[in-house]
Amino acid sequence: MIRSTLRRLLPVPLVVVVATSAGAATFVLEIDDPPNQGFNDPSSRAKVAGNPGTTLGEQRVFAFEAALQEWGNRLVSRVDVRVKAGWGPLECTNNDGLVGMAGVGRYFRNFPGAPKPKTWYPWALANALSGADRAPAVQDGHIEITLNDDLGSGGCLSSLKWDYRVGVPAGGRNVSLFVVTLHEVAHGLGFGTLVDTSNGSKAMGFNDAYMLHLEDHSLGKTWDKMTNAQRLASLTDDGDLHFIGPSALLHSTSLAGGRNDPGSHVLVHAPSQLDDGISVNHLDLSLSSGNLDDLMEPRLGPRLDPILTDHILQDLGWPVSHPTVRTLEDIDGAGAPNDAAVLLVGQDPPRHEVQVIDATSLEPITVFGLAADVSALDMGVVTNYRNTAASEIAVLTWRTKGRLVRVFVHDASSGNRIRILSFQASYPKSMVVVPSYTGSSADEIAIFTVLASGAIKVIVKDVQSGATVTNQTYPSAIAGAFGVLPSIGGSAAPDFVVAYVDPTTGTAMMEVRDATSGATLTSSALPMDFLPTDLAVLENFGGTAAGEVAFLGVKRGKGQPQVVVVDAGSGAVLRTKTYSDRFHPRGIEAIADYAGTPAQELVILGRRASNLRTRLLVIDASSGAALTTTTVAQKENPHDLAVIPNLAGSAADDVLLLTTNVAEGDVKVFAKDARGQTLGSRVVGGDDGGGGGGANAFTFTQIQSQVFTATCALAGCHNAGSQRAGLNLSAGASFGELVGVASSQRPALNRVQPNQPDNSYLIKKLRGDSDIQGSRMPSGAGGLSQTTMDRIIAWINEGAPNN
Amino acid sequence: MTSDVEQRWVVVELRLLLVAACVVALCGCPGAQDEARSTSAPAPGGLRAVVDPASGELTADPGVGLESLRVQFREEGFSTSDAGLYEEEMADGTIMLDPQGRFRSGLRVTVSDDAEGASAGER
Repeated sequence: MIRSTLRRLLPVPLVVVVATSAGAATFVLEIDDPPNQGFNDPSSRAKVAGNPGTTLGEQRVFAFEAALQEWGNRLVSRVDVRVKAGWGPLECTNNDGLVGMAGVGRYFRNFPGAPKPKTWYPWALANALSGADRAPAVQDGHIEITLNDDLGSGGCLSSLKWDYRVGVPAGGRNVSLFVVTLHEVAHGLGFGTLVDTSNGSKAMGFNDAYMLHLEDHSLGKTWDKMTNAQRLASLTDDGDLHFIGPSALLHSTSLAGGRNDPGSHVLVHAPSQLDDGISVNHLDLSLSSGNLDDLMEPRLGPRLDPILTDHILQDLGWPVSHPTVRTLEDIDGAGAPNDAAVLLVGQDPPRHEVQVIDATSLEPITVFGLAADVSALDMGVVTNYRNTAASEIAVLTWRTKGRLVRVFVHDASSGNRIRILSFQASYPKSMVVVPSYTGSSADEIAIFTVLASGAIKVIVKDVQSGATVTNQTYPSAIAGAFGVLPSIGGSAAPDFVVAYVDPTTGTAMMEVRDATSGATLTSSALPMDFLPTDLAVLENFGGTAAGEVAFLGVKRGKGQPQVVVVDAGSGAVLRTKTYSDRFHPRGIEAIADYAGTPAQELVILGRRASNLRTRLLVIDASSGAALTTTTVAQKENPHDLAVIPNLAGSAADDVLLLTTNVAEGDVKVFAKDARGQTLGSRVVGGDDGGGGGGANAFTFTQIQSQVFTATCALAGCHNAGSQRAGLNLSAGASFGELVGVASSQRPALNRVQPNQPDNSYLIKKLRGDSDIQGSRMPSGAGGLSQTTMDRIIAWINEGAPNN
Repeated sequence: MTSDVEQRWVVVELRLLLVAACVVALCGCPGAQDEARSTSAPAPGGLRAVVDPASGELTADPGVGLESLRVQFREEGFSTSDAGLYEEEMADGTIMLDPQGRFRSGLRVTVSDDAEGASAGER
């Protein structure tokens, strides 16, 4: 291998310095450089922006680790990802050269948890999918990276220099180590094939995870189904080699270039002359959106960003983090009239979790976790139907193995899981909670998905019964956006609005259908060259009596963000506005009018191309005029936004923004007035996350409201009237029944023994220990979430105060 | 960026390497061969890292040696051949493959001249 060759050729002691970065997955840098070289270079250096290092080696380590941190926040793995990296001589001239080179330490097939048998998966992915290091005794890097140590010296790209700033776009003469590392790590995570480029054969005769999604378009076959000769020809079939993983397809509509336009297939770099180590393992040079280029293009450009990279890794099998924020009603009785739910990946162990937070203080109210092996894609709030203290939280998930599409429904106050809904779909794009229209006491959940045939489908299930309510099939098309409208046709049911792109003509269409009958109420073409990615529903301000729909997207070929406002009743386009401010749009929400026009305002979230910062643009829906433009001061990667009614006393509503700090890796929630004023911010995930792991002790008041009152002090159980096992857990009575009081089932143990959770019978009953009498509590609920358990245990460890 | 000090260090190491390579070539030191087999695939070139690619001869010129090393890295790393690789079956039925440094991917920078001079990443 490269590094072992280097070690053999340069026989000096190998110095390994280990540094860690913690996120949803923990990436560990193992330095593979000799003393005083590469990452260990002690040469003094002037400080650079955003990098505290004072030596060349320190600055390199910091920038490299910042990129690892970014990946750690995007992916989920319980197994540390070991990245062995060093600096060495890579091929270059003064005009052209390699800046980095990456590979995989080992490949595995037929391991526990493998999505497909007889298929090679890279080491780090096999670890993530199986939950254990597949080769713990092997000390090589899961990922191995070599960086060009000669860059900037005589004969090797001498006009350029390494740039050790963090989160700054590459450009000019600067080669950003941060961006190069992001790129190289993606290769080590599986972005590349094992096919022999000299003859088209598979490695040892087996498929690899990447090639399963490579399609030779004119042949109509994926690489796993081709002969060696066909694969060999496909390697250099410029423009005809596509990546067609479902997640990539569903998110490629935001690409202004780099698709098989008007299709949704993503172009793969396959120049007619084979470029070893470059061809096939990168995306086409034309990939762009909002003036950004994709991170996995083969040449370092000035604006590389992971536009599609996460989605492609998800197609390979990686559980990927999609941080999401939604507004809830007030459930803690404190501060703001609203609370909020944040979906992110917590730590210890890394897994998706939901933090319910107070919308004013942004402090957590409760935290609950999801299964470790799923990607959580979207979240919604289901109106409380079980008479608990709070609404329910529905989380849309996808698991590579078995291609499972499921919605997990949890009670927002206790975190207890109530229901799992399974959907027959290959891959979902989004989910909307629909107010009940079937007579059920619970809301419905609609998912927006694409079938293997390419047809778009909306599937609706009732949360209470789990029964399928509606299956609506749309044309075979590129899925754009989906939402729910108040009925415009006069039926009792709401309507669905879907935007899609016709794959043969490239024309974007919008369609409104009745949720019950499926009757098409409106169908019309959206403006030429518009590619819709999200939508917001508006109250009527023009056209017919029906409401309006604002579609967010990009302009084909140009990449500028565009907003198109359409009358839902007639399909007439009321306003099309293209914004010259180049940014990659992420989402749109409607807020109440504050500008005095007949229409509401729209808040648009995006990532600005020039500096990769989070952009918040507020526009008037009727005129399209920009009212406020805000850039978040820190280097924050935007994820999602949610609207909360005005908190700040200004005339405008407020929004909650969810971002990741590029340098620190922290997931943050910002409360901002729509006019731009920051009302507060708090780290909710990453190294300093308030949730992740649930080590924060509950107060007894929180235990009472979120656990005892919600799930225990019920008729027939532990309320004042029933007192099963002689235990009353009603508010006001419970503390005196628990702390220092002997259990009726195991009198040798107190129900709660301060500072001794393992000797507290309450904990044993909640854990379901083998030495309890009767069954685990809460009865029939499948147990409390681990985070809730951790916080109760922390309360006992703090002495079980009556606080 | 490589400093002059680093350059000298590399030169020294390459010279040591050349001596080692000559010794291996002349006396066929078995220990060295065993070590090479145990740590690396029979990569194209093997110890040819110290051979001038133009002449095919061993050279003491550090610049040529460095260039040769670069070429070897690229050839080894970008190799997509599975020749000589072997699978290892583990106790639970998992099959492991050691790619021995092959199947690498690279990221390029191209410098192009424009009105403002050279710049990175222009295509």
